[in-house]
Amino acid sequence: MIKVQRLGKQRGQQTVFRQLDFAWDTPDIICITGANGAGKTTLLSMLAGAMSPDVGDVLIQGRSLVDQHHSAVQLISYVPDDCPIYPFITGREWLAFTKPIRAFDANVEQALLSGFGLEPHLDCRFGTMSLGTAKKFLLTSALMCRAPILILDEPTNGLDKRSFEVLCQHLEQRKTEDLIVLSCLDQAQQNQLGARPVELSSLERL
Amino acid sequence: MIVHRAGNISGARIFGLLFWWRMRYFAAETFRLLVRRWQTTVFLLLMASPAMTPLIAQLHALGMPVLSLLEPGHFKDSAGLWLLLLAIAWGWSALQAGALSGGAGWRYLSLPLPPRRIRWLNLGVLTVIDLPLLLPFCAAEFTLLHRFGMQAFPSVVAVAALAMQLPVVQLLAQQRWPCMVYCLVADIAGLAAAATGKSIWLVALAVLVGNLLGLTFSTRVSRSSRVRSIKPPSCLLLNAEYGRPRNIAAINLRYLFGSFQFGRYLGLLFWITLPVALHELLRTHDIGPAAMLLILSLGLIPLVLHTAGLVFDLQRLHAPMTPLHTVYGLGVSWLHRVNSAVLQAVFLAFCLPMMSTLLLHGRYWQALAVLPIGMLMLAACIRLNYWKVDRAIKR
Repeated sequence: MIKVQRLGKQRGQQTVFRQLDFAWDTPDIICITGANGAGKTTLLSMLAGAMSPDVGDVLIQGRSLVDQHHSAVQLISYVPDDCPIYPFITGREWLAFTKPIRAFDANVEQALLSGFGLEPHLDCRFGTMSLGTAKKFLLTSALMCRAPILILDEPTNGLDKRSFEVLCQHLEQRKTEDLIVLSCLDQAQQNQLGARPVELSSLERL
Repeated sequence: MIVHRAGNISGARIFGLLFWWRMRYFAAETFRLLVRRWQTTVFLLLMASPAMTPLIAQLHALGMPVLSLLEPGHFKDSAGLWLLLLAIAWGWSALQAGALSGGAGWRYLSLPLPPRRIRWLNLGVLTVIDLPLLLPFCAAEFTLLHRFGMQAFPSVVAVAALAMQLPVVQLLAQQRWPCMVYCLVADIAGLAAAATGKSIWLVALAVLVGNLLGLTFSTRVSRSSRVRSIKPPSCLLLNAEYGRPRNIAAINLRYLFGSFQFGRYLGLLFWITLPVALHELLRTHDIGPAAMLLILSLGLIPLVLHTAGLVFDLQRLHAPMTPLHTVYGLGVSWLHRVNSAVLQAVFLAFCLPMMSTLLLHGRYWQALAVLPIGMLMLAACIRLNYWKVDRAIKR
């Protein structure tokens, strides 16, 4: 599903990765672990196609993120670690914005909106939302898409207990069909999500 | 172990540190503003360069309005002129309110200084940003000393007192505008004294008393600056049935013309309405149609430059969303194209007053050529600005 070939990234003078080489072929929930600043967010954004690598390539179901970016990103849903959404648009508008971009499941959307308790916040602007509410809108827009690969950067940040359980249930349903790659610092939450921990440094080619 | 207690740092040092913070933030914000308007700045410098006028004559001309305030016999003129100068000073600080605020960090800072010191800090910052506005006052003082020597000392003091009032009025306008009444009443009394030929010391005294009263009664430090949001029109709401370009265009328009942006477009509004005002002003004079067409069409240049400068605003709007847009398949060049189309459409709307003046009132049919020329100029300026944006990102 994802194949990473000799991936390298430099940030200024600092080398984030020299040569990452790995492949994840089957549906699973994978949690990238590592110390702060190890490059988890950088790796996830490169796997999602949000950041381009300096060297190497990422193949998404055989499509190159470097050479066939447009068709490769069609297979990915991505939630970044922060919430960069335009502060003056509402939650309802954000969902409306993402719908024409990717095929989506209206039932999943409805289930997530009610599970996350987002209905009362649909007409709130992102500038006035709490971090948790904004994150739930981002998660809803990503999870309702029918993409076989889900990249979630710190998806549990700011979530309350009930919403975390809804997220766990949703990922549990998808893990037999889709590949879910996420990062999560809390080990207890990793276990509850049923994620297989993968240490970032172990992905580096020696 | 060395423990640094809060008391170890002097109040003056804290004052200095906070002043430095505010000035750095102001410099960063102003630089960003200059980058956005670099084409306008270069244009104005080229147009307004007074290279042919001697420096002394330039200084005399610059100080003339201030000196006329102290001349006897024209109370109405001097009062009107002074109110205009205060209005300009208020507009100057209002336009830069964002840069003067100290940024988001300033709001969350629990300041270890009493409100009186913070007020002096704000006054210090305002005085520094007012340097361009204080130039006519400096020029007036130079002229007085150059012409009359130390005999002009009372007038020099009066001019200095008037100059000191600009930051005071700006501060009061930001924090407690009713206190401006003290300053205005004192100013009117002082200018009336000057107009009736009384001692010039009275002007200085009245203005200083007005400043002191205004500052003494403005005890409140900050005023809430929350702006009520206005619901956008339904055509600008994002909709799943619209295509991606239309939704992005709606986002751009809502950002550019949102209620929170009104203060930033006073300059643009000026250039949009200038041709109409010029036409009204000039049509009573005997000006030929070709000259009139040329004069009015010249208004197109600042309009093009201002509109092209909006590229930097749009780039700032979309920058945090770029990674997410990339995953959604909305690449940077695609965004550039949509943004450019939006700016061309906005430019057409901006040109409406000018075109209606030229075509409907003036019957200058040659003006039809102005629009395509303007759009071509705009496309070139937008391209140049994107080139700057792309270079900055790559760096």
